[in-house]
Amino acid sequence: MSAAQDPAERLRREVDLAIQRGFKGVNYLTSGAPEVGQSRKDVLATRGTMRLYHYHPLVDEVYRVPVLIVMATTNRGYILDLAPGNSFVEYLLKAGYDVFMLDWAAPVPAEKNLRIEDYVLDFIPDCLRRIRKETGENDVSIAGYCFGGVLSLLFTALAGKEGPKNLVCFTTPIDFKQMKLFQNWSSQKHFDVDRLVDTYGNVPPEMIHSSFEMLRPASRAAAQVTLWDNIWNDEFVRGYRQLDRWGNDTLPLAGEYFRQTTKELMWGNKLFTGELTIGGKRVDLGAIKQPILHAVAEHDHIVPYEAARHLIARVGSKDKTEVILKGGHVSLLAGPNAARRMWPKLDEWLGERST
Amino acid sequence: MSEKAENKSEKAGAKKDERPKGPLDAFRDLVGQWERGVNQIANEAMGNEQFSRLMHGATSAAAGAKAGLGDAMERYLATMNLPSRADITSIGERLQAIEAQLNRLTEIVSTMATVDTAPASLAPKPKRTRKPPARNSGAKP
Repeated sequence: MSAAQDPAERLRREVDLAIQRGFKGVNYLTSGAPEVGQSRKDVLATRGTMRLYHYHPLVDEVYRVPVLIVMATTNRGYILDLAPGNSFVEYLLKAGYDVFMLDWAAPVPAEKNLRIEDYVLDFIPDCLRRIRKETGENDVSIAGYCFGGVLSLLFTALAGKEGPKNLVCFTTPIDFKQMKLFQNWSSQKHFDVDRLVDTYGNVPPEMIHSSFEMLRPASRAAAQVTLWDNIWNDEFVRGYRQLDRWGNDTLPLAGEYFRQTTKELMWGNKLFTGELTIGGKRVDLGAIKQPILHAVAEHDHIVPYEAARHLIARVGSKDKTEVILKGGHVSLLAGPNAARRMWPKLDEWLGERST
Repeated sequence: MSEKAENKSEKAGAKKDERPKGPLDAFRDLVGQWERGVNQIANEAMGNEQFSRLMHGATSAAAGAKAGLGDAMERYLATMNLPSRADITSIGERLQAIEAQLNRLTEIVSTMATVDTAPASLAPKPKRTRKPPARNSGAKP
């Protein structure tokens, strides 16, 4: 009988783990928040909610075309730079990309009037202008994550020649009717978005966080049990705390931006029907001619595949690729499985188009 | 399993798999089943119109209470000759407009400058001549 099968040995091991859980549990409760976003970077621009970072290259020779990552407006960008050795940004830097990130700070009450137009026709073009000035390159690739992907898509559709050289979208919804639970929660019949925005100004982060948590209501409790079970495992606890910190670090949303998103996209589904206008111009996804890669996750509970699947068919690009990978909304792009699946796939696609 | 939990499990996945089966494994399986079951039942419950109506009834009541409290507080602060949140927000808006104007002026001055200015970034400037490597499946940079 091997040691693993020996009941006495198994019992001894469980007792050993129980003791370690006690010690490590105390350590867990008394230690500070984990460090995140440690890749060296310069802050190129700070303008209200907008933050533009330039990461320090890690190789002597980079691709000619820099890449701008556009983060979702609900969450912090450090999910893509969690820790050395577990960082999408670090991977790109080591692979030879000149990496910039458009990240968001919490909009202050005075920014409650920001609209989608401000993000699409002001913040993104402003970042591109600064990147072009910084690098001396006119060509820039854009990679948008979640709603950052939607904003990147809208910008590319409207920008014409000022648009990016390549466009990458991660888990980007265009058919909002397929986001079933969010649809029900924002039902026009019951949800008075005007009252909410008029009362609060910006939508409180607790509300955004709760809506994400409600998609999987039992998972927080189950995750706590899993944490207790694995609290003896330092590597597990480190990863847990980094993700937990990020998950709880939800941003408020600018009130008008939220009102517009609810009315135009959730209620009207206008991006999908082709009726969406931004800054007086109709958004035609067919006007996108750039090479485009759309990466979606098989088990995405926030943006289900049905909500994202029509993107590739709708764009006018000849060079277009959709990849469906195992994983969920976050694990598509962050964590060990992303490092094995998504990151090399992106490098392969983008490297060829970045010279 | 939630996205977060999924990531957490992935993180320690290899180590957990290596661990020999223990007396707590049945409990772990039970937790997994409980999570999936509750999530599924809750998703079905939250997908109906009644839930939406109740949820927004509660949200609306909270918003109403906040609005009422806000009005009362504003009157109280005015009586005490103190600035309200709206006053502070208004000052914030004006400051932001000044900041935006300053940014525009800085841009103009920067464009007008005839001498070469230092780049905004302090990062070292690598050559921009990299070519993609010949690909092998699973190759890492």
